[in-house]
Amino acid sequence: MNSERMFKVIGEIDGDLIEELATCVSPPKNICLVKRISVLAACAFLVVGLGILVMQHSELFGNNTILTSSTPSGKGNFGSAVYGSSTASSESMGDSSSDSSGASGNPVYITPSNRFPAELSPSANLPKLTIPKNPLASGGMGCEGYMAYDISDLKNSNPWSPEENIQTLPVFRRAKEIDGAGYTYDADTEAMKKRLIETGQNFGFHISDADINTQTDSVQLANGPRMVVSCVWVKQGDIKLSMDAQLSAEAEINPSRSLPMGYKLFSNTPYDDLQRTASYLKNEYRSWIGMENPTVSIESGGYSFDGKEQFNNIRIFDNSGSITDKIVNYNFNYTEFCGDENNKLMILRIHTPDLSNVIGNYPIISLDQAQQLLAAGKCIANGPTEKFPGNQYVKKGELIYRADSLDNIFIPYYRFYVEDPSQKQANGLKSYGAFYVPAVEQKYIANMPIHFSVGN
Amino acid sequence: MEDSEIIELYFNRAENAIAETKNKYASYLAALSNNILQNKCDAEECVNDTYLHVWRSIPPQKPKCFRAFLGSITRNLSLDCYKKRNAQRRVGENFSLLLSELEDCVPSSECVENEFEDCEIAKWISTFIRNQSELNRSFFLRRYWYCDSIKKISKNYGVSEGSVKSSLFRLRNSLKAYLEKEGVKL
Repeated sequence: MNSERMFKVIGEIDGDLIEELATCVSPPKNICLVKRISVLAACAFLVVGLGILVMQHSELFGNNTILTSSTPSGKGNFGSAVYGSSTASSESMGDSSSDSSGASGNPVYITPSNRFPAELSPSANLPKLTIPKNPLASGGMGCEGYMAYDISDLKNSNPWSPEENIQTLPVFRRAKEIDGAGYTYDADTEAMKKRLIETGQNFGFHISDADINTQTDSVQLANGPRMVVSCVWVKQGDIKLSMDAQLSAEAEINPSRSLPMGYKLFSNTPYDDLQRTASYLKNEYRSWIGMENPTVSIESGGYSFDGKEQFNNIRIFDNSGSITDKIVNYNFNYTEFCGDENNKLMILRIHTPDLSNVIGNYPIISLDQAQQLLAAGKCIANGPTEKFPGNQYVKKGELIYRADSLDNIFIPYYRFYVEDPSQKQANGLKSYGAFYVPAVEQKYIANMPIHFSVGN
Repeated sequence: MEDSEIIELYFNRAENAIAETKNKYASYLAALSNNILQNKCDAEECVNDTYLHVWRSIPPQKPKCFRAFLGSITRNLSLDCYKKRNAQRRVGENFSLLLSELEDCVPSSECVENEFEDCEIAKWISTFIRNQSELNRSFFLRRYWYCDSIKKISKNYGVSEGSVKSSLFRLRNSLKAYLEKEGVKL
């Protein structure tokens, strides 16, 4: 709650500062025009230069999965990049037969096969895609930036790796569009109820239509307020299970459940300890999770300024099926475990969005090709800086979908972690910003070249 | 009407005190609250509650800067409203992000010895802000006092969003170091 106190403290700063700002006039845009033109010219020069460099050194894009220990090997080299999934451990469920807590009956496996067509051959007439400009912020920098002593500290269990040599991947359209604030205006209440009943089976719930409550919100639109269905929910025992308009569920446990002695769920729990907690939760709540091959991924949030490890919530995804299934599951279909401030289990977020609306199966470029586009400025800068500092600072690349964003179209991207050389801390922490390059072939992107920075 | 005249109306318990406050500051307060809540209905409610709080606070209080005084009340009421909505998962993304950014400024409890009152810490922060360049000062206040989105700041100042983000990142870093150096604990 320190950030809330900081917010309140800032509210108490000297009033004359506020008055001064209220009376000062923002610099007109044209004052910056010359400066901007200069910057653009410099960028153009840089892009041309880097493009030549990329062409000259394309043979250096070799084995991308190896974490090389060498330092950048000289002028024009592309540095010691780590590509692909990180070295984080990925623990499979195996044949564990431990009981779940509070659940009975057969779990419902909501596998990708019942959410997007199993057969996805490359479509002949693939429509062009427009890259949206929504932010995807994570980390604590107010943008997608991470602090770490080394890139290998930024762990996850992304099942993708360049060795998979993926040729095509599906692009999805949200079944129900959302607006910039995350509201869904045409929620399909019947589909939400159906999915709630299905998901409830994993919790041992027997739900009838009469048990289901509907929650609505009033949203202020330009033409007046409008009621939208935000979720449907049931409460049985200590669990309130709700299903939102995007068909993702949340199980709120009240009162929160204690964990056995020694297990920690705080976000700043060291990686190894959190991994142990995740294994416990995966086994203990296996039927709630409802997956064929639940696999833990602890998404590293890097380090705070103080040098303390910080992680996002524990993610468990279904690591079964084809590589496409695994990638889709990792990005879209997963369960998060969230603790309260007393280290008790409070919420499970069960992400199972409706992916039935497949726009097409698109040809995918390789990681090497994506890095060339990055160097040429055909990217989205989502980190603390929009300036690409050079290939030698690209430390990691991986393929992901921006499933957490407010995008209405889910396109695969390569996410590059790029070190900001100007931001190294005295305690040795480095700063990494995220740059995204669409993984779909350029000819299918309507707004290429794309070089923009996303804010909030 | 001048702020001093409006404040005088409150001291005289004049019924038009609130009406005059509304005339002058309604849109400012609504924008401030809406930046936090991203919901006009809730923002309107917070602004109405602000008037009530002001009516109850003046007298005995006599604010030196009426604009900041009003804004501070609206910010706190909006924060309370945000927390209620957060429990219901109806939160504004901008403000969630803003709060996560502010974590960066919080001094490490291991590095400091003294615990100060909020108003004392606010003095330190005021000094820190005064020592910044005019542009950085504006970025900081626009983001963390007015709760403007980075996009809006970028648009208003004619600079890229990346520049705003970089500047804010450095400012948060510097503020944290400054507060720690001064021995401030939060």
